[in-house]
Amino acid sequence: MTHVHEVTRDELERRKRTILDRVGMTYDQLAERAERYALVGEEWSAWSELREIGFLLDDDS
Amino acid sequence: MTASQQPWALQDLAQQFAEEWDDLLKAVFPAAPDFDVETRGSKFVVHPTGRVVPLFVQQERLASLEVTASCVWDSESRYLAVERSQFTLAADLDRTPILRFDYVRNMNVRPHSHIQVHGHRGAMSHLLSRAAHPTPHDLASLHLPTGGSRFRPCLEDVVQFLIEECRFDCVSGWKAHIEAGRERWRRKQVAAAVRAVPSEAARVLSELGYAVTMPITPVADSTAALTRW
Repeated sequence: MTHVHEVTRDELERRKRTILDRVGMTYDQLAERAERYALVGEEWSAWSELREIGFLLDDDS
Repeated sequence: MTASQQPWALQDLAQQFAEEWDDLLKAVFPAAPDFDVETRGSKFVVHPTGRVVPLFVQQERLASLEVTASCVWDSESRYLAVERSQFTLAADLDRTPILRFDYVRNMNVRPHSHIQVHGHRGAMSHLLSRAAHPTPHDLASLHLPTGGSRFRPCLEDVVQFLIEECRFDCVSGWKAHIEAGRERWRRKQVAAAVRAVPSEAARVLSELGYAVTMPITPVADSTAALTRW
């Protein structure tokens, strides 16, 4: 079974803040660690989810 | 905007795509979760509820498979295009990826379909160090190319690898579902390859004895489809 959820900008921004609070880093800090392949454990799933949120938030493409 | 370009038409395609993955994974792995489709405007993200599929060995949960795809319209606003997909195997022990099968449609500096192996190998680190690679000790910084958009591995390939080579628990009768799904995937990829390089399709069909007529305005072959890394 699949479930379709329409998400809002506010909801995505809130979720983004929650994820960053969970890993205790700013987005830029996490991105810099990802670039250096220095993520560990939960940071990987956090980074993956943040990229999806970024994709949904980006209005340009 | 044509009828096929309406957001709801794309939502139908994204939901159908999610249902195919949902059906496949429930038919092959025990305790596979439902799938979610998250949407905003004309963008869709497809992943299992909870983001991962649990993997078991003799009924003990040991690992997770992250499955995700971000989707948009293709360049002609006619078909669903996967902007990015990721199949990641991680042990529950440390939750750091072991293997990643990634596809990023618009990636240019690295192969846009690739595998990353999170591991260490002294000889490779030595070679990379000698070549002044910036991260010689981490194999994950290498992107092993896997054939570009059209010839990349599908979810079915990854799942069969996990069952047959890694020996994770599976549901009886799993292989028929994998083969049916793989056929569906490859037919779509062949169709997309024909759209991208119609001159080769016409040439081969003519060789096989089909009557092929050149249209008044032929579609040019896609240089990107033929040359991109």
